Amino acid sequence: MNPAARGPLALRSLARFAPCLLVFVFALFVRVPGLDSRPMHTDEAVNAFILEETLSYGMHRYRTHDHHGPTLYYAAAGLLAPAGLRRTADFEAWHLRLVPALCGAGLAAAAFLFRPWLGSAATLAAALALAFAAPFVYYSGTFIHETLLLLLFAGWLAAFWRWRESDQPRYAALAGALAGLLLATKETAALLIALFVLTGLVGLRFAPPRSANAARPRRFLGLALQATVALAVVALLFSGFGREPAHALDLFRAIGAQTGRGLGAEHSHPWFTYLRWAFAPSSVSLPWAAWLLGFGAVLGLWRHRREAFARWLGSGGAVVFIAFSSLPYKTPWLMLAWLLPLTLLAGLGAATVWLSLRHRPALRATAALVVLTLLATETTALCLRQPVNPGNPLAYSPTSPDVARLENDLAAQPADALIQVVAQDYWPLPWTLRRHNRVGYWSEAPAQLAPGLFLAGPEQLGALPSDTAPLEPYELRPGVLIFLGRILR
Amino acid sequence: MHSLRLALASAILLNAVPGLRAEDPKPLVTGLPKPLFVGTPAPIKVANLEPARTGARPAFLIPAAATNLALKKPVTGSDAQPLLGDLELLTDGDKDGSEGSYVELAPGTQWVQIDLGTPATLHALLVWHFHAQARAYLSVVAQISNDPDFIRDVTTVYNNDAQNLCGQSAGKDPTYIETYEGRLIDAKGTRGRYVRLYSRGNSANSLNHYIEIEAWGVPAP
Repeated sequence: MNPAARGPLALRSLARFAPCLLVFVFALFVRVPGLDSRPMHTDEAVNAFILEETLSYGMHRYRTHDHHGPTLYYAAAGLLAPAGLRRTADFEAWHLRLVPALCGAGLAAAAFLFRPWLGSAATLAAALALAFAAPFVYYSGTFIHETLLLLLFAGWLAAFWRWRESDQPRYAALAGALAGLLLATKETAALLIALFVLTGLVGLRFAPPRSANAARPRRFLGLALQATVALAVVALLFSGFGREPAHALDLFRAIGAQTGRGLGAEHSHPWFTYLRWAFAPSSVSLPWAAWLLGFGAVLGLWRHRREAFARWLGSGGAVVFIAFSSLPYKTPWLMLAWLLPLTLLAGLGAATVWLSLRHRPALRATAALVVLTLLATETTALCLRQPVNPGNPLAYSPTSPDVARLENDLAAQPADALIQVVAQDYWPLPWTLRRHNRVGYWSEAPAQLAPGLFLAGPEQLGALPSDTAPLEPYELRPGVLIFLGRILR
Repeated sequence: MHSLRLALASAILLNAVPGLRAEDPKPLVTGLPKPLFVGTPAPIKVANLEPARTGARPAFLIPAAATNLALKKPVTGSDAQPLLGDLELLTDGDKDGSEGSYVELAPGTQWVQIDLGTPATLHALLVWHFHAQARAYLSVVAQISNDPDFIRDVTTVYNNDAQNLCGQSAGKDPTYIETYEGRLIDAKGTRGRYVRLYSRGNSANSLNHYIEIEAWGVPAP
């Protein structure tokens, strides 16, 4: 190649990827301050111990009733183990939260995967919203599966649509691989994939893809390829990369338990709960992200209603919202699944406004500044200033800051001091006490407690011996107390 | 000679076999149970929940002559046939949280009333609903009166019934999580012979429970 031509090509490549890289860096910068802004949630603390187990055992041990798939733990292990961090005693909260933070920043950058269908302006707007909006930032600072799930989901959406348009096997294989990773992340991915595949295929009847050679048998083969690759990825990950083949299909053994959870009384909320969490004002902030993204999505969908991709995002997102709202089981991070397509559509709406104001640059700039300021205000309030305020709609059973007081009060104890935890509800104490070497955990009081420190739930205090030093209460979560005391004999 | 040989053989044996020497006990060391993994905890859905207190409960000063005037006093209530236990458990002095120490009343708004036997100046009430599990009791209203029917001369000393579900007017006091300490209510020197407490279910179920009620005061002259 002509060396002179290489220069411009390299520059063109850099120019092409620069916005994506800048968004990634910017989104990561937005997320870093929040990595230590709140106490470890119970789910995070449990995930930390599951990560330790994974590192110790050499593979993830899937539990069909809870705690989801292996990808989060393998991703965290890949990041932390090379740095010598292998036990919970080695971890700090920000070590673990770096994983979802990188995923969240990656999600913002992944908006550029949709540029062929959204256009540059809408893509940039969607990327900035994913970088900035409170729900995405908040869960990027929480060591749970959701942000990784969303990153993989964004990749799958792009790969699936590519395949749908082109019928090329390589996109089918890519979509299949990403579907496998999604399923290996969280069980709800099955519902996401099914609903979006369904709406995508239904849309084929009304809007054939650009590929003129689309034929039903070929499409069926494409789907079969996706399913096969997905299954292979699931088997590989659940078997510990082939180490324990008997566990390869454990995901399918979880169907009954997970279905029962979704339809059961656990975390049961009314159908309108997602609307309330997303769109209702709270004591902490007005929900600017939801309002702006909702308005932008409606505008973008209306303006681009004749475009198949926009219709797919709208119909898929709506169906996911209806399905999730129908299930009794609800937690606020599940909202991200339908907020993602909403945000992509909102990018179209933002581009519509941007273009309509192209002859009024000052007004256009002011509008952009106002939107970003409102988003930043909400993100700062929900993610940095009051992340565990019970009035924060994104905080669900948050750990109380009072746990830090317990940690400080126990810091003077030697690492090998005996601490007996007796409570029906004691998480996230295992995280709080991770650097104490002699800690035992009981749900019911044992026959005899040894002299020394104990942490007891209120229901256990009646079973304590009489020679007990005065008890100090600490709040683990709003309404959940633990009492620190000492058995004297 | 035989006994000397026996003693020598024992000494050799005891030293040769570890653990046989009776004078070398060792502490029993066993593994401690590890924590069980749990799922996402469900939030306690209670409005106006009082944050946990930092430190021990501050001392509450009462006159030196004050005693628990409710001890062993008769108790009546809105539920004539409690589901569990008897109303007399409320003033028997037993504050244990286990079954057999509390009375369980039907769902909905229920009240219990203690006749102190004589008008008194009350300085503090202490109430234990249930503490075998962390829960908050709802629409708690505490009243003192000289009228056994609580129609006239009623003083409300605690009211967290924000929605006025018990019909005793809306209150602004916080909802609180029950603990072994009981809820201390400042009776502010209110004079009365009767103490009545209302409740309407709790954060875990719709039932009403009482373990013990104490009324600290001085009989009126």
